[in-house]
Amino acid sequence: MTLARLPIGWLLLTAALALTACDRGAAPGATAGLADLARGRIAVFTGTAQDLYATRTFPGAQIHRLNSQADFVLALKIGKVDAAITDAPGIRAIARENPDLTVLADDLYDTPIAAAFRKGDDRVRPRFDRFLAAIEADGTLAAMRQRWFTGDPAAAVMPPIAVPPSGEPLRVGTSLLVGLPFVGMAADGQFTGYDMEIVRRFAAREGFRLEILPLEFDTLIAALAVGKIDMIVANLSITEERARKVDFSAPYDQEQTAVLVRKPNPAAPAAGGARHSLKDWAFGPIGALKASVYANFVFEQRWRLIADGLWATILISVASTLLGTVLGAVICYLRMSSQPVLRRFGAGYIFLIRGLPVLLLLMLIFYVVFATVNIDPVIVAIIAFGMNFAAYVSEMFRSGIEGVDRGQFEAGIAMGFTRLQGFIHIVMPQATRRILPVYRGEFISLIKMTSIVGYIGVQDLTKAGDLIRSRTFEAFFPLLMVAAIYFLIIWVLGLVLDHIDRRTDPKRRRHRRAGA
Amino acid sequence: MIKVEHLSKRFGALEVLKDVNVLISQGEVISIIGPSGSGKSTLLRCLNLLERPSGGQIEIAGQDILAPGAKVPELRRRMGMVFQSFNLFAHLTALENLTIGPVRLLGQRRAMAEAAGLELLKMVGLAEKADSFPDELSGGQQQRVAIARCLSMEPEIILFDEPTSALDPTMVGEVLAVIRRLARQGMTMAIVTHEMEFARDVSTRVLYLDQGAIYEEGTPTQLFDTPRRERTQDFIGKVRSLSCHVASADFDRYAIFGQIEQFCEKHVLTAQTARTVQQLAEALLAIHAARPGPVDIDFVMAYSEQRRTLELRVDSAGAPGNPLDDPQAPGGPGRALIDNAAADLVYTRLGDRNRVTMRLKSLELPAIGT
Repeated sequence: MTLARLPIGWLLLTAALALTACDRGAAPGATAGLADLARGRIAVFTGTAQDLYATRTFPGAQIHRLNSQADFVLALKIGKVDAAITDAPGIRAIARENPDLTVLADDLYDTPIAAAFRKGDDRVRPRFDRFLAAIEADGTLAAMRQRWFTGDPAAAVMPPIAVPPSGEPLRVGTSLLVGLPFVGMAADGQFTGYDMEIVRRFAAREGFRLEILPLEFDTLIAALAVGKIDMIVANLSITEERARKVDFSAPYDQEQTAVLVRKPNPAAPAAGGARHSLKDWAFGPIGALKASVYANFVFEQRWRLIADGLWATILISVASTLLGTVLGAVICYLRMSSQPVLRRFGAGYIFLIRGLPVLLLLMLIFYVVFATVNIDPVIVAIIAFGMNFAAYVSEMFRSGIEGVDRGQFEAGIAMGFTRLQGFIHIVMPQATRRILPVYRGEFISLIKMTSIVGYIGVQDLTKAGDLIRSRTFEAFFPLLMVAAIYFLIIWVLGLVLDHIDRRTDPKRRRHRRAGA
Repeated sequence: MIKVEHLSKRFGALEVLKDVNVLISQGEVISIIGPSGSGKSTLLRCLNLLERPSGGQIEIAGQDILAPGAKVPELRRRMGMVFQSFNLFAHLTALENLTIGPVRLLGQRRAMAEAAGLELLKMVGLAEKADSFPDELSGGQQQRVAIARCLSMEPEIILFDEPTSALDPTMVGEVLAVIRRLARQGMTMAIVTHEMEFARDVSTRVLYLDQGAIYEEGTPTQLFDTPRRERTQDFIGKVRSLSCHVASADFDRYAIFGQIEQFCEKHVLTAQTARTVQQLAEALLAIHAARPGPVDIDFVMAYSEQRRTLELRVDSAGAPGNPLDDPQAPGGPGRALIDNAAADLVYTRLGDRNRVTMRLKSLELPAIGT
């Protein structure tokens, strides 16, 4: 593919996706009332109290379990679901951003919100309860509610609260996809929102060295149970089932549950949030595109989220490729060993790892192998993807090595090369040529596979896109933008491998020499 | 220079070499000949330990190379090997095939190794192919580069393992010419080959290997012109043979006729020859089967491609004495046919068996009595 052809194909793809989206958006009718929900399609957060409520209250409904507010908006707008049920402050925030969506009801039921601790924890929980009572008493909590729940949460600013740089560690698990007004990320990469302010004030008052781990919502309780984190603060409502697994603090909020639906006669939907559109920008498709770029990329320096995510994606991809290549070589060596025990070990490793979805491997390493070790999830991701990569490339190495004519190796040995020298100077250069094309394919699928690292709390490119979506509530632009960036990385890294491929082609080497 | 004593090699249950003793001195050109499967290549590959011998001793320049501490890679640098399938390094050009050893193993500077490599390519007539890759060269050219690659290591001896067996007949000559030139220059060489004429004029000594041991050895003149032992004679004369066993007076003559016809066809003998041999076989077997006692006869038809002669051998059990001279032997046209066709008829007693060897006068004998 040439550089010139790339943007045209890209534009075509974008246009096609946008058209499909518009088409779907117009078709479904709006939901009239609560009674319609009984047969409708309802979106909830995976594993939340609302999930339980919707399943029990509307047994005839189709429940769609989604993972972020942005997904709610997207699913509602394109008509994949008829209603979304979640906490009222969150839903009000969404409705403010999206004029074509509206709050159908905000008094389904009340639910107490609390922090969760490991069963039997008496180190942190009593201190947190004391702290809650104190801020309740001195009016701090009321001021916080005012700040986060009454106005536009995205415009609210958390006051500076100094936390100690050292001291007793406190690892708090949360989920960024809960979204504002509870949990969000500010432009400077700081966690923000009502829940995060509580955590920060707690750490400041009690002298904890604070460490916040953003995980997937449905993995929080498991992470707490195995000791990856000390407490959960993620707008978690108290339910009977959860109370069996964790100890809750006193509630720090009482929250209403609301239903979000499409407006019966939606006003012309804007592509971006009204908040971000600039007066001096033209309207129309180009204007809308500019507004989207501004909202998703420029505003609050959101490109930095993308840049950080991109760095994480590249770091994990490249490091696990290197690790996997080395490990793959070792496995290949075992697999081709003359010792039956080693050979069986190598074959067993390949059999085991190839039979395991890489997401499970990732979670097993994070939550089981390193359960009690405080380890950077990026390193866990590199280990998991490296192990996975090793299983696949070791078989490529083997077939590449076996494909090299044994007679040449023998000729090298007869000349006086040791077995290792013979392998390095004679077998390896030829095996490399055979392996490169398949290796390249495996590398590319590794890059794409890394998009699941959000499950263990790494903020990669995919996660960065999700975060931006959770702030702008824009359905398509961030998805397409992230897709485009993946495409570019793969294209550029592919060019690098092409270059290596050319470098190792002996016939090209001769032409280069002849030309020089 | 190389001393091999009681060398044996087994591959599982198969004993390829039984008890081989060889002494190769500086400047000798040794040809190793013998039927396929006789262990020639294995012997060669044991010399540089590409195959680990099962028993015996190999000494090179006074060093026991099978001793536990022997520096085998260093010893191999002093012994080149040329393979049947060339085995050039496919990812390197002809010149690079010649420089990789000196640069990587002998620590020569690249420029020096390249100059020396070009000289060697010139010597084998391939200087203009220096930048060609092996897959761009013909088989003969590849083998000449492989020989030059050996020379680049400045070895004390070169082992040739059937260097021309994988080549088109048109390319055999160019490779043999290079080996001849090395012989003239006094290079010590051990050559496993099927090219008898070449072995005869290039070697100082010829080893005939059969059934895992050295069966006969000598100068080329001795071995090729006056081989002393039977298997050597058959091999040198390029003898192809057909043997049948007869265990009853009422043997299946038509089965034997069929085998004779097939054998003649395979070795491009005329139909007339086949018919003559069939008639002779019937006459000889009838005389032998008529003798008293149990019938136990081996009939062998041996054809020497080199001398274009046919020999019929009949071995039989029974009391000593030439069956043809037996007074009770049936006479008649059969006997007349035998006498007429034989250039000579020899009787020998071999152990407890009688052997009649009949050499035919000419291959274009007219058929009689049909």
